[in-house]
Amino acid sequence: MSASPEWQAILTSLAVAARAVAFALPLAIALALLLMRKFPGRMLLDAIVHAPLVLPPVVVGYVLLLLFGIQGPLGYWLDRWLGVRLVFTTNGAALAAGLVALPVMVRSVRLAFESIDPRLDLAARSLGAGRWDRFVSLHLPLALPGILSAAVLGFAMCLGEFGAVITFAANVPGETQTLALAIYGALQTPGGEPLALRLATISLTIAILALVISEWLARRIGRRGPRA
Amino acid sequence: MIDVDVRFERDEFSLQVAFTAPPGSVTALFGASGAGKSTLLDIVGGALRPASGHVRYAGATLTDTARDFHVPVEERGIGWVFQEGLLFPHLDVHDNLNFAARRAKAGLQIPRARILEVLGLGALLRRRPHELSGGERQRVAIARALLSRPRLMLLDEPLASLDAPRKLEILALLETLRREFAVPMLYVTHSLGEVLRLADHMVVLERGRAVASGAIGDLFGRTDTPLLSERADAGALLDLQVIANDRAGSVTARIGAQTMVVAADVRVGTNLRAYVLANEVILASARPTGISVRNVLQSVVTRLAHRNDGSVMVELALGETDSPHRLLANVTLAAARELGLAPGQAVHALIKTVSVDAPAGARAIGTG
Repeated sequence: MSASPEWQAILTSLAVAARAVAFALPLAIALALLLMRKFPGRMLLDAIVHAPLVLPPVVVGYVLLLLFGIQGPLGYWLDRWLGVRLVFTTNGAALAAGLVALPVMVRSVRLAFESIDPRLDLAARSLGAGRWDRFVSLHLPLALPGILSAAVLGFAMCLGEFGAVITFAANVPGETQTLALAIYGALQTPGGEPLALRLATISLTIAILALVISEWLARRIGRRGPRA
Repeated sequence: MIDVDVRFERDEFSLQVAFTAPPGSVTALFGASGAGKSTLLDIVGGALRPASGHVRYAGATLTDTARDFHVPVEERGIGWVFQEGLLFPHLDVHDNLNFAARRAKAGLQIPRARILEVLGLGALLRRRPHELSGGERQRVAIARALLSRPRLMLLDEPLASLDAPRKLEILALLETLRREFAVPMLYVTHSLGEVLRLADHMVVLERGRAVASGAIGDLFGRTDTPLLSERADAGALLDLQVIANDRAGSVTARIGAQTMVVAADVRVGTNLRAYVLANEVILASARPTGISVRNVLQSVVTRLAHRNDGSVMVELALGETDSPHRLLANVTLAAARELGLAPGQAVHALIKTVSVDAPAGARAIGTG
């Protein structure tokens, strides 16, 4: 069963998407909180974070290849000091997919934090809660539906990411060959169309499921908003 | 003792207020909307920093711009009750209260059970904020602030978003807190009725300036505080001592050397504070006979002021000119001329019994 190309693609996709969200979600939360503040260079950071939204994913993959390739400025040192290689690995695919999904996740997380009534923060302060305390016991729980929604949406995007993954991590079955890449591969193979169709159906099912969950979570934010 | 002297500017609005209020008192910040009441409260609470000045409370400096000193909100030892309640929507009532109790300060120590009992929260503990009515939310908000053991409560128009029956209910609870637990409060309101029922002390704000400040007994019944004497419900506060109860819904009370009949049913010896509307006081140059009015108080005209509506506001001292008991009477210009009203003139002030217990808020202060 686990040897079938469908399962291999599904498992690779899930592994890539899970790892992508695992690194991109904390980053998205940190960036969202950072971008809500005013500081010099905020516009520039905002533009850089949002760049993958408008860049062809292939460019994102290529930039990663330049930075994290074996001879790239970051890849060289990662390999030498930590023995970590990203190119052509599942982690590399996760990095590429996660970066493409990052802007959408940042937006969703930021919206969740921004919809918190600032007077609630004042109420918590008056009750003696310090900054970190308020973040953990007030902001984070109130933003949680939005954060989860960002995670689900990001997960779904990473499952289907193609350009950035194939450019940076190539198309290695069982390692970096996600559903999207497997469908592409099947279509390139004579007689591969039935497999492509099955893989496409699986993709569609997962995507719809993710969107439904994301929408449900987003509605929960609305209900728990400042007027609740 | 609250000691505030601050300046604050924002856009077109400028606030420049200095006042002090005695320790342990309920001090009302009173004025129309836009007068700067809430801004002033935000400064005392530490949510806003003044451009210059200081805020001191009970011997501790909270803000002093001269030393660039500012105690953050979370370390001020305040309990803040907001107009909109601001309960935490992700927590039920029990957890909202615990949020405060777990971070309690070193101020007021009222047992939790008493707070829950007085505010009637026993049955609400497992409810979520969105399942509560406006009045219930405000009760929880007050309990939450008390459970944080503040040294001072800041109340920002806590009744403003409630309907009339709910207002009375919460007002009665606040009176209980004041009476039973001696909770020091700084209370923002634009309602004269709330001031009269709750406050000992008052700061009258107008366009960012404190136009009057003092014990409320001293602020009413004067023609030189226009914000109060220009109001349709302008009047005077009388501190009365009950000397007889006629068992028919009214009592006889002493004020200075005179007595008056007040609609109330309280024990002999009770101190009553009654608000008498200036519009309900009739002046006579001689003691009238054969009329139904029960209260005829001998008075001396101390001051006259022309109101913007053309009428005349007459400030009276009950008994002698230097009497601490004052009354206001609002009469037409024609009537004032006909009676030849002038400072120093003796007149009789007629007050119908019922009008003493005016809805603006007569209240019983202590019993003894």
